[in-house]
Amino acid sequence: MDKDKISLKQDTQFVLKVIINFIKEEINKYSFNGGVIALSGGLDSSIVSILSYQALDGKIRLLFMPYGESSIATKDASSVASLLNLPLETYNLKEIADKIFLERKIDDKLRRGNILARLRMSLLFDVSAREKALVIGTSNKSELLIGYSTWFGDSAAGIQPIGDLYKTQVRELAKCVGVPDEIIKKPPSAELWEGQSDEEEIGISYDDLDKILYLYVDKRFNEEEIINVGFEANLVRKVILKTKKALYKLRTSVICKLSDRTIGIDYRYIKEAGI
Amino acid sequence: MIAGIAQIKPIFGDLYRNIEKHLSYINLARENGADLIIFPEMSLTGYYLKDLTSELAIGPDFSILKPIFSASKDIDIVVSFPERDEAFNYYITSVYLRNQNIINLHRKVYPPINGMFDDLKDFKRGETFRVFSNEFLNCGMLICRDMWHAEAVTALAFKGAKLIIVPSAVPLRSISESGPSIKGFIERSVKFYAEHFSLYFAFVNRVGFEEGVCFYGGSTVASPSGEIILSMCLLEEEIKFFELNKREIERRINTLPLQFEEKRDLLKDG
Repeated sequence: MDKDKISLKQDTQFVLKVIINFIKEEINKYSFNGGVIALSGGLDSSIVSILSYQALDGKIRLLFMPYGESSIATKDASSVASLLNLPLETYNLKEIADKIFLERKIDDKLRRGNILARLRMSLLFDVSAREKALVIGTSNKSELLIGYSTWFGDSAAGIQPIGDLYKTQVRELAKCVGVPDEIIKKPPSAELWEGQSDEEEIGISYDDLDKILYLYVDKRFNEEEIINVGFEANLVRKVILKTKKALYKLRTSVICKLSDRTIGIDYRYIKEAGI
Repeated sequence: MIAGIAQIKPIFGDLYRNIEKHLSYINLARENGADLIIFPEMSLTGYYLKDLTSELAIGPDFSILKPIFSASKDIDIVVSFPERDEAFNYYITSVYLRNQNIINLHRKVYPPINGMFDDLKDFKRGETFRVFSNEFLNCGMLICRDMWHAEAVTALAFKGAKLIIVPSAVPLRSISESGPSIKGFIERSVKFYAEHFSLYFAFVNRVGFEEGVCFYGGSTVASPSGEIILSMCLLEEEIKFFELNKREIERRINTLPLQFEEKRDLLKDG
């Protein structure tokens, strides 16, 4: 197999239909009034907003929670909101976050980023309670697998419509549903701090990352087999290590088993059992 | 004989509402002149029951299914559910109802336990593949993963089945540029079995989501000449009908009499 011949392409129209059906069914099953989405102006939240709008006949709330004044993010989030002809509920985190950073003496970028992600989560779930709307998450498979997300922060949601799509697949879908070009083309950023770039921070392009993850996770290739396909050994090892270190983030919390039936171990119900 | 396929989305864990739903589809089939209606795997409860299995299991007397038994007075019905036997074993079961009686009961022989499947944690394996007559054709039943095992289909074909019914709950996975790869696999299997064993092969899938897992639909029927005579939509509920024609089977056997050439002894050891 040749590295350049690995294709993550999908039947996009079919994928879109599955995701739209999924959103529709999840909202209806639990009788929510609609969905609420944290729209950052990035690729993932833009496509999730558009698909949720289509699935729910427009019954979604868009929450924009910048830290400070990023003109690009504001412009992009506003352009998606106007595309959908929906209001953009804006709450600037600068004042509250700066107060926390100052009083708690937090200078570390990562800690600051995590606090911002969890503040956003907190406000998002508040709107969820206010509107009886389900929090629709915007995490993709690439970032979930390598743990490039804040635990109980941006990855916290009722449903994750694009959680099984790699970033490069999300980009392909975005082209089909009318996500503005500027959003598709801008460098991906988790917006943990000003000027942050995902690819710089992770140290690998999404094109390579997604292909390595696809071979490792979906196709069950081992490290040696992926290297033989033509990827640099250090890069492959780094990505695999990240997936292992991220496993804890894929669960809520682990309970110490003491009884006959323990939550998360042998108290086994899917959530539909609670309808 | 006209058969209908009810490609439904069961309401998870709600036996009573599912019985109502079945009755409305049975009425629809009756109105369309069908002699038989087939529902997917675990059509009365949903699939991922896990710890709900014992709460929802039906049997050994099946009294809760009385409305569906009654409805089978003038139309044959294939319905599927978690079954409890006298010894408190649980099975994934499909029954063929005719004239208010069970004329065949099939217990899934190959409950899968790989990847997203956990059937064997909750259910015991069935042990037999039986051929029975519905007074029109010799029939055999499999459930979902059973049909992935060529020996299961072969067993029914060797015993004389001319209609194989496969209630299923096949989830979606792996979508390539040409669509869901599972759909191609199922279609190839359905066509291959039908053509090679000169029989009607009816794959009956469900739709809907359970905890993110999408059951893709795409129910498919192939004729004894290996032609797909019914191909149902993906992802949506639907009811469709097809005709079973004995002459079609006979013509196919006359054209390519593979069944006269079978050497079943080859399947024995030694």
